[in-house]
Amino acid sequence: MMSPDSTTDHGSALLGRGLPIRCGPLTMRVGTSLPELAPALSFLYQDFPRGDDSLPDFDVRVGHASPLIGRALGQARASIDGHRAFDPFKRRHALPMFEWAVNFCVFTRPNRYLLLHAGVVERDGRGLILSGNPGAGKSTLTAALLFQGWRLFSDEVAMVAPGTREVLALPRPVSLKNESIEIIQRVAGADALGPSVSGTRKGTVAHLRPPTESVRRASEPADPRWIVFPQFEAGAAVELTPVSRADALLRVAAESFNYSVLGAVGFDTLADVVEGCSCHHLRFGTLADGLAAIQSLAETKDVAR
Amino acid sequence: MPALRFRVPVDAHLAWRRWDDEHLVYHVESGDTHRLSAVGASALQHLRDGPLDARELAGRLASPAQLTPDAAVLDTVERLLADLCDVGLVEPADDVA
Repeated sequence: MMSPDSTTDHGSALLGRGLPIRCGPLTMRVGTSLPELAPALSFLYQDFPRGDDSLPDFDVRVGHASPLIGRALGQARASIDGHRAFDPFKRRHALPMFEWAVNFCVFTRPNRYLLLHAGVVERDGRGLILSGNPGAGKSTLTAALLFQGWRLFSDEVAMVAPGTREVLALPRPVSLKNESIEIIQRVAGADALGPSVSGTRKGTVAHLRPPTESVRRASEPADPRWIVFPQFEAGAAVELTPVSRADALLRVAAESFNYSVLGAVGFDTLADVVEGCSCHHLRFGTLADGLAAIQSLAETKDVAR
Repeated sequence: MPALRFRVPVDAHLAWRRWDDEHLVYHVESGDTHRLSAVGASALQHLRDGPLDARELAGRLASPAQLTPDAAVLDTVERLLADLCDVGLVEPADDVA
């Protein structure tokens, strides 16, 4: 296991041939040629075990855009599996761009799983899927729930093994934006977050380091029991309303990364997940209201399944 | 002139799921997921069994309730068939008996 005491080792590996990190069912090899990026990556991934370096699912690097021009312009770029990926970006945006490059790989590569665009947390073996568009409040709710006894699976993707109802954990750093950073900082403490990076296409971005326990238990799947469609509206009264299973399937499918790729297997897998869940739309105006509504949902006795 | 018959394409693969009165059908060839009413789902299942024209289909749908379809029902069934054709779940049958 990586630990703060071995930061030096991680730093040298990150700056060298790359560090294979095991994250749930995936192994990603990551690295950088930017010295200032290594400490942030070491911090965010410090609890992750090393993976099998001979069989990474993907390789993500962030380095200088070009030996001469890139350095002069303060630009960097990402590469995936040795190939340049995306346009060059400002070097000071390297950390969020690294995470987004990993997101790209996670969202597009592991088609042996059904991949839903959703946050997922777990408690007592039961999984809560938070499905919604960007800005709906998924990541903020996901992050806040970690401090109410829930285990992190992911703030971005629900991975479901076809033929099962199991949701698998991929507990990577939680991406927080703008006002959410301060909100979660108050709950988690400043030392739980990586550096804030301003001026990105999503505003100011910071990452919550995954709780050690969540990383330690990343091999333990969850049985999904609730699907919630959050909708943050500042100042709105909290409202938790049922959503039919048919509606839930159609809405979740629309936000899936590979539902159409998996065909009938994707449909059957998602239908099996939905069948075992109670599904709800949650409108909330404050984080406290959203959390209270989810708490009340989790305390409700299971309906007949 | 014989009435136009419709059917589910012979090479169509459909996956179904039903919850209460909501029916979902996944059409493998198009990759589309459709929500159908109970009547629409029943119609699709009849058309999967063999080609039917609008009047024949209306009769099959009304049969469980022992009703005789009137002009309004026939009109509804014709529109249902048009909708199912539009989304590719049914097609005109070539062999009109």
